[in-house]
Amino acid sequence: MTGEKPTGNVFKNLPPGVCIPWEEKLKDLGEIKGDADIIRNEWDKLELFAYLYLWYWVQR
Amino acid sequence: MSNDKSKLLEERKKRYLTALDCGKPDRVPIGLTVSEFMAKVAGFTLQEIYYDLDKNLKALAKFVEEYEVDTFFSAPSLWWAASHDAVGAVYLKFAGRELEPNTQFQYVEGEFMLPEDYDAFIENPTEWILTTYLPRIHKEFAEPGSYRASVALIKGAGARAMELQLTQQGTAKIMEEYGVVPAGTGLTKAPFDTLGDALRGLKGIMMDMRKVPDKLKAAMEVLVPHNIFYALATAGGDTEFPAFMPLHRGAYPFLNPRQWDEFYWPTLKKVIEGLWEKGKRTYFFAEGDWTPYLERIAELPDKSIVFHVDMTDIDKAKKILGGRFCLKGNIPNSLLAVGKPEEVRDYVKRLIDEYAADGGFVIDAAAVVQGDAKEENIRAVIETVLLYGKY
Repeated sequence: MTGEKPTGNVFKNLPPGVCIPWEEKLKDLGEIKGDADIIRNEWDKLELFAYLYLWYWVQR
Repeated sequence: MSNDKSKLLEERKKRYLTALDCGKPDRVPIGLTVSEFMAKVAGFTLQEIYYDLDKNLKALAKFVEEYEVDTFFSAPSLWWAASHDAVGAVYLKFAGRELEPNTQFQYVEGEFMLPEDYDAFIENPTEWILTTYLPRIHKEFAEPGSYRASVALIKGAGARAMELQLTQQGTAKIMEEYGVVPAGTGLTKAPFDTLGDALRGLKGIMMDMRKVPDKLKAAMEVLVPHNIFYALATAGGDTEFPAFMPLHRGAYPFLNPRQWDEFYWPTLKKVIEGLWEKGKRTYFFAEGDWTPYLERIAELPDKSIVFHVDMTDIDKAKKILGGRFCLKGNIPNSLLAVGKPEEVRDYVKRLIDEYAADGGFVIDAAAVVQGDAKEENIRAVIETVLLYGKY
């Protein structure tokens, strides 16, 4: 086990199911020319997968 | 029993859910919580079921084909060992790698979260898990961002997706082809156990109750919405069947009653009540002895849990919880391992007569049935329920 000190978080108080807030991703995406909800819905599915993968290692 | 599998599935589902609602179905449901025993039934080594996803699911299919149970718990192995190897996970030892090919897996507890991690954990546990916890429990992540760490992360995530897909397909097949219903959908934990099992460890959390009680309580409060969410998300949104909640450190006498009241119960109660508000019942898998806490558990909303009786005094459980909560259990695993079939029959008959007579009861072993159970004793359980368990 590495015993390094924690370096702090990029995000605070994220709700369950979220790893990177959509609002943060929107800043990267810039202007969305089509339907933002389509992009958001698929983003959320992968967010959920990432979240469950991380918590899988804790909720053993 | 119907030969039409879809009709059989409905019969069993009605039987099980009626009991969970504290009612009287046509007979006492058989809900054996079986794991490694299935490998023996299927003729596989434990290495095979830990490492080979297909064989893991085949073992479950073989079990429900040969044994007339109403519900299934899961495939025999809860973990795909190859996915743990991919990331170099350190907290489980598996048969065929560190252990002999037919040896039960071992959990190697450690203090993978340090006392100084509490603030970061409380601020954002999801990020802390990725940036601090995984590099500690996954040897391949020792240098985050390195080639090895990046490949391991791809493999680990891909493996999880493969495992979930195959497991969903496999359990759907069990329902369709064998007419057996799941005992539960989704998994969650008591916040104290989330911290005490995989993060701080027993030694660490015992110290935290004395040294940093406020941080421990704050961390558990942060966990409440995550643990509610995790149960629902891992259940795929299902609210028909209960969420499995293996309960560990709350068993007596890990904690004294004052500690239990102060540290264990408040957030556990919130998780259960939070799930119940969303229509999801909790399968309160009370491993060990919970007798001193039955009165507190009775504070929960009616029918919000299925109380699994292991070493808890079943007379007191029946008296305090019976009629308001379904009880499940409690054939001693030692009896299944070393007893004779006639002794098993006597025990099961007594359970039916004394605890199941007015409904709200599911026959099960006291703990998860491992490879040491005798096949003739498991058959004796089922035969006895089929013979004497009709209402």
